[in-house]
Amino acid sequence: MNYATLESQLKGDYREVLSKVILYITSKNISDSVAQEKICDLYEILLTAQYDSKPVNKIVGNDIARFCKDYFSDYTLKERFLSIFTWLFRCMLFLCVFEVICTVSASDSVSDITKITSDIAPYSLGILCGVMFNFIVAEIILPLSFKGKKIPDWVYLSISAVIFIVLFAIALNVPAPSIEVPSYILIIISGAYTLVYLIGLVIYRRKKYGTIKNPAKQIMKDSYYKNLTNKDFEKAILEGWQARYKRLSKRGRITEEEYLSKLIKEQGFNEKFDTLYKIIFGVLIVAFAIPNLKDGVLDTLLLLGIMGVFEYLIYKLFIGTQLKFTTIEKNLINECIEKKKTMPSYIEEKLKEY
Amino acid sequence: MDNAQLMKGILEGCVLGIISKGETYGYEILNELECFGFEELGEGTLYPIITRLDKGGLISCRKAKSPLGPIRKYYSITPLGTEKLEEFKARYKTITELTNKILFN
Repeated sequence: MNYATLESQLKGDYREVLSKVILYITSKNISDSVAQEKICDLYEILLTAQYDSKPVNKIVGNDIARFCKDYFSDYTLKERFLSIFTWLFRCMLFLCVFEVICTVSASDSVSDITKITSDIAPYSLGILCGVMFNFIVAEIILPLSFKGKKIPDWVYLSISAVIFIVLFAIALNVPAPSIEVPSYILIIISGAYTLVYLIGLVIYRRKKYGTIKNPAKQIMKDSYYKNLTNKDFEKAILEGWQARYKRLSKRGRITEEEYLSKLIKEQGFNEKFDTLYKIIFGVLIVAFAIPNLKDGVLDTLLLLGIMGVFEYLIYKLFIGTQLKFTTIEKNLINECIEKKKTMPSYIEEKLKEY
Repeated sequence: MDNAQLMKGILEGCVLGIISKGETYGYEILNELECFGFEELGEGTLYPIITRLDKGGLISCRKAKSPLGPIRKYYSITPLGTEKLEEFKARYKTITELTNKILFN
């Protein structure tokens, strides 16, 4: 779930409470299905309290740390234990996929697969550093951030980031004794765990919720959450448009009536650009694959897969955010047209909501 | 004297009593409790109580859209809940009478 979008719907103390609770569930590794339902319940109450101007301490008390502990008190030891299996599943899935890619790319033939070995020392060191990081954040940094109101949250986030970098550097550079294990054994073990976990998950969900679907994702299918836009993004776009209009109108380059048409034209251009990006990324994948076809179909397919994942990640990272903004811009423009206002007057009226 | 322990026993019965008056939701329950003088409660105290009542089959829950848009949980008392509430009221009355005799007689 995009918690930032929920946070952006709240203001002042209400928003701060939700942020702290989100920080709490992240650091305590509370499972998605539990966390999402509780966050949505709390969000609904905070939104209602904000609408009624009810002081937030009437909802959560004066001690946020105590509130979080009480609010998640039914997240029992059994459920915490189960969340370890989920964490292990993610590690095993990564290990399985990584080992398959490395083994296939290193093998010239099927018989070579059994000869290839992997050093598991880096995996072990990485897991150890990950556990240490989680412990430091959950048991030391988070309680401090709840206590100290004078120190802003970004300071604690920065400290966490520094600790992460240090532990990451240690994991990469500490010389650990090499432990060579045949890759196919790692693939079998991690693959088996993944399969058993998924079967167990299906049975657990069926028993507890009456469905095999992820209960957390069912919440997000509700039209309210699906159509929710990030109010911080909306505000930033409107303020940007307002500043731009002031600059252009000062130079006599645009009138109030013309501004909406200008934004609609730019919107159409952005949509065409998005289609162009998709075509370019698709062509790049194929362009990389064609020269490598002569090396073998298996290697080419593997390369296609890796390129596809890599380019998808780049697309989401750089273009994904732009796409979100484009959708929000489109909705704002449509709302302005529906209200039959000029864009500058619509912006002025809309900014009063934030 | 630990007020928290005293409150813990009473609150569950009070919340069940509020829910028995008609279908309600978390925010409204908090408001009701505040009107009756329970001012230092919050959602953190209320939520575990509601969860216990729900798991025990004393209340049922349905989800519906709130006026502001997000899904809201509405709680109603079950026949088992009504039975347990009557038991709680009888026990509370007995304990209160005995305590009053000791403390205020």
